[in-house]
Amino acid sequence: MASIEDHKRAIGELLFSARKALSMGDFDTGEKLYLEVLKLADDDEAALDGLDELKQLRILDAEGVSATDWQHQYAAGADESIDQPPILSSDIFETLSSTDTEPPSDLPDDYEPITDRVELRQQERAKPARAEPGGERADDTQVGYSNPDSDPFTWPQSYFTSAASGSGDADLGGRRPLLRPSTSAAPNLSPNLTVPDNHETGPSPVQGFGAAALVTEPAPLYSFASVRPVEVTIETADDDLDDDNESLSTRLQMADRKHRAGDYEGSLALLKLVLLDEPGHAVATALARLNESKLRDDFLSQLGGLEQRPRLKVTQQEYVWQSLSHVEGFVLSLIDGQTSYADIIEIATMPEKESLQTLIKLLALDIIVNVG
Amino acid sequence: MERIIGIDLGTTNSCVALVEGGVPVVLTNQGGYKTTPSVVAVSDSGKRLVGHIAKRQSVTNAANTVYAAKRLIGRRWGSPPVRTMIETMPYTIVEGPNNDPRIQLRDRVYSIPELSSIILQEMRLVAEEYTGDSIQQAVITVPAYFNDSQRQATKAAGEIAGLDVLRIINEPTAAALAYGYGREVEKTVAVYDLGGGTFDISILSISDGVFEVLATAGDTFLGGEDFDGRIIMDWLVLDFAREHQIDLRRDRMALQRLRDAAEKAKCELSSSNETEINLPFIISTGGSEALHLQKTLSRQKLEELTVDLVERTTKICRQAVEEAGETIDEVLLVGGMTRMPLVQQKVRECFGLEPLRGVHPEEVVALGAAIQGAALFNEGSSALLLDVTPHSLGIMVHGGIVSVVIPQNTTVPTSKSHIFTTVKDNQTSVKILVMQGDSDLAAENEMMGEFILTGLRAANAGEVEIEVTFDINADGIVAVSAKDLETGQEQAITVTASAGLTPEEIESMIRENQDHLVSRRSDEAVENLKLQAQRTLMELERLFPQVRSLLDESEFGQDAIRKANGVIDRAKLAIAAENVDELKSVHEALNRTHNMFKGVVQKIG
Repeated sequence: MASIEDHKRAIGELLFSARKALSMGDFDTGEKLYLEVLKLADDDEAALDGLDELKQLRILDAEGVSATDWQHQYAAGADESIDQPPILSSDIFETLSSTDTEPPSDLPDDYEPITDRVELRQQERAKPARAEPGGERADDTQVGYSNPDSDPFTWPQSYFTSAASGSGDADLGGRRPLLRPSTSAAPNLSPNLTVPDNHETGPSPVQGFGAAALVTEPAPLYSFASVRPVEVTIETADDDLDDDNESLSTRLQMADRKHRAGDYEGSLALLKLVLLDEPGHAVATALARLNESKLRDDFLSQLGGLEQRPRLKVTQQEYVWQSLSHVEGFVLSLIDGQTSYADIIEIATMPEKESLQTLIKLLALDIIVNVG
Repeated sequence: MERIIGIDLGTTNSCVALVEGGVPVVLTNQGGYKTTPSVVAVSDSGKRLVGHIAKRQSVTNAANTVYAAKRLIGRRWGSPPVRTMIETMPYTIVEGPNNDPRIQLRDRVYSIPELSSIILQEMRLVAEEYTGDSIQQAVITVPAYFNDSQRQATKAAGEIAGLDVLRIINEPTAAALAYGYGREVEKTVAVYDLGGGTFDISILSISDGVFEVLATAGDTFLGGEDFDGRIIMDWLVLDFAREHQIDLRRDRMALQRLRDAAEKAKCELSSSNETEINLPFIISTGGSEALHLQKTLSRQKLEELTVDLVERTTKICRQAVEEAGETIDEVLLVGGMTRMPLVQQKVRECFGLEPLRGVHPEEVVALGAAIQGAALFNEGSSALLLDVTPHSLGIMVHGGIVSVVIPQNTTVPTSKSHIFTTVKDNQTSVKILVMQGDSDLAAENEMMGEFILTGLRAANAGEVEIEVTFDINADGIVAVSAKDLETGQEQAITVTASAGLTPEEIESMIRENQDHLVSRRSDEAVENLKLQAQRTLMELERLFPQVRSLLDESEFGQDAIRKANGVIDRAKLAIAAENVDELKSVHEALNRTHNMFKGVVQKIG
C-alpha cells in the first residue's frame, strides 16, 4: 500500500513535470499532468495555480506570443525552483565540441578563435554596448541582469557590428538581460518583422533533420508577454552593408539566446533568415545543426526511444472525433503494435522531424501508447 | 543436420518452407506472416527495406521501391517485357553493362539478380531464425516458362544470397508435389496459378517421377494487384470524388492507405459477404478539417468489379488445354487470389472439375520445393524429381530453321548427337549456332552461343558429315561439340546461360551481401541488448522508491542503493552509446540488481 510519503512524492513529481512541460511550451502535457495531480489531491493549490497560468499562456500563445520564451525567461528570472533552461556555453564552438557535432570547416577569415574568449569579453565590455535590435530601449522594461562572469556573451566580435545608435542599451555592457514578466507594461505583441520577397524561395543550406524547420514559416521572433518587444527589421538586399551586418549579427545573437533558453525552434527560425541572407554562414549553420540535434533529442525522449513500438490505445470510434490532419491520419495508419518508431519514421517517407512531431502529438493525445 | 529450404520466389510474394520430422512446414517471418512481399526499397535515409515494411511505403516512396523484379530477371534489355516494364513501373530501369536491365534506387544501380538475392536472403533469415542454425542450401522455384537465362539468373541470385541452389524447379511441379503427386501417379494435371502480379496455367503430365510440361500459358501482367486496382479506382476513388470533388489518387499518403485497405478488404471478402473500409482522416480539405472514408464493400460488388479479370484467365486456360491436347484429370489451385470464390467458380466451370484446395494456395509452391529439398537429402526418396530441359535445344540450319537435338522435357543429365552435312560445294567451315526454344523458326528462339568448325574436307555439298553432340550435365550446363567424322577435326563450346552478370560481379555482390548481413545481425544484436537493458531499467526504476524507503535507514542499505545507482548510470550510458560489449557486461549487473531489488521488496516490504 502506498504511504503518505509516496503520495506526496508522486504529487511533487507530477507538479515538477507539469512545470517542466509548461516551460517547454508543451501545454497539453502540462495540463494533463496538473489534472493528474488534482485527481490525487483535488484542492492542490499549486495545480490549480498551474492551470490558471496555463490558461493565460494559451491566450498569449494564440496571440502570437512565444510562450516558450516567456516561460524560460520567467523561469530564469523569477522562480529559481523551476527546472531552468540549460545555460549553454556562450561560445557556440565550445558547445559543438561537447556534443560531437562537427565544427564548421568553412570559417570566415575574420573569425577569431575561441581561445580569445577573455580578450573578446573584454572587448565586448570596452566597446560601445551592442544595441538591441531595432534600437528599442530595453530600459523601458523591468530588466534584470545576469552575472557577467557566469553568463558572458562572447560571440566573436567580428560577427557583431557596433551599436549604430547610442541607445539606452549602452548600459547593458554586453551582458545578457534576464527579463522578468511585468505586471504593468502592456506587451506589444507584433514584432516589426519584414521578410524580403526574394528570401522566400531561397535555398536552405542546412540538410537533414532541420531542413524542414528551416523552410517553414519563422516563429514570432522576439515576443515576451511582459516586456516591450525588441523590434527586428530585416533589411532588404538593397540596404547598405552596415545595416545588413547589423541585421545579421542581431539575428545571430537572438538565435543564440533562444538556443540557450531552450527555444530551439525559435532559434532555427531565426537562423533560417540568416542562412537565406548568407547561405553557408558557418556559425549559423553550426548553430542550426546544434538546434536540430537538441530538438531531435528532445523529441526522442518524449517518445521514449526509437525502438519503442506504439499501438493504438483507443478504438477508431474514439479517435475519429479528434482533430487530426490527413498526415497525422496517415502516420496513425502505420501504427500496428509491431512496428517500431524507427521503422514508422522510415516508411512514413516524410522529413524525420515531421514524423517525430506527429508521433509525439498522437502520444500526447493518448491515441497511441508504447508497447515496449 | 544439414537443412534444405524450399523457396517460392514469387513476383509479388515469397514463401519459405522446410521439411521437419517428415512434415513440410511453412515458416513465419518476424511479423508472423507466412509470406513476405517480394519488395525491396531504399528509404530516404538510405536504409534498405525488405518485405512488408518496404511494401507499406511502396506508394509514398514509389521511385525507390522495387516490386515484380521477377518479370525482369534473366531478360535482355531490348526484350518486350523489359520495354513494357520501363513504361509501366514507377522505378527507373536502366541498361546494364551486359545488355541486361538494371534498376536505379536512389544513387545506386542494382542488377536484377542482386535485388532478387535480397528477397532470398530475407527468406533465408526467416529459416535461420526458425531453425536457429545456418542455412546454406535451397531449392528455388521458377515459372515453367522460364528459359535457361532466367533460371541461371535465379540461381545467381541464390548464390549472391549465400545459398547453394541445389535445384531450380518449376512452380507447377512444386505445387503438384505438395498436393502429394509422386512417382506412383500417372495423371494429367492443370495447375491454375493466380498470384499477386501474374497468372500462369500449366498442364503437367506426371509419370514415373517425370513432370512433363505439356503446355504453359499465362499473363505476366495480371494478378491480385489488378483486382485491388478495381476496388480503388472504380469504386473508392470514384465515389469519393463524386461526394467530395477530391481525387484521392493525387495524394500519395491517401493512395498508400487505399491500396492497403483494398487488399485487406479483398482478402476478407473471400470468407465473408461484406466488409467495411474505414479510413479516417484520409485527406485534408484545405482547411483544418480532414475527411474520413467509410464504405462497405460486398462480395457481390467485388465480383461485379472484377469478373472480366477472372474471365481473362479462363480464356487463357482453354487455350492451354487445347494446346496440351490431353484430358485433364485434376485442377490444382495456386496463389492467394484463388481463395476468391468467383475464381473457384469460374475454374470449375472452365475445366468441368472441382479444383483441389487441400493446401494453402499461397504456400503450396514453397512446400513442394521443401519436399524436393528433403528428397534430395534422403537418397532414394520416391519424391525425387528428375530435372528436365524446360525448352528444346538445337542448332540453326539452312533456311533459318531450328533442328532440335534435345527436345523439351528431356530428363537431364543427357547426351544426344545428330549428324549434319554441308550445304555448299567445297565448304570448308561451318558455323554452329546453338539455339534454345520451342519454335521451329530460329528467329523466335534464343541463341545461346555460336562457334565455327574449320578444316573440313573440300567436297561437294552433302558429302561431308558433321556430328553435333549436345551434353547437358546435372547442373544444366550445356556443352556442344561438332566433329568432322572424316578428318576427326573437332570444335566445342560450353554454353552457360548468362545471368546478366560477370563472375566478378557475382563475387563482389556476394561479399557485399555478406557484409550487409553481418552489419544487420550486429544491429539486431545491439537492439536486443538495448531492449533487454531498457526493460530491466524500467523495472528497477519502478522498484526503486520502495527499495529506497526500505533500505535507506541502514548503512548497508545505503551502500546497496549507491551501487544500484552506479549500475543504472552505467546501463544508461551503455544504451546511449550502443556499445555491445558494455551492454553485455552491464546486462548481468542489471539482472543482479533487479534480483536484489525483488528480494528486498518481497522479504522486507
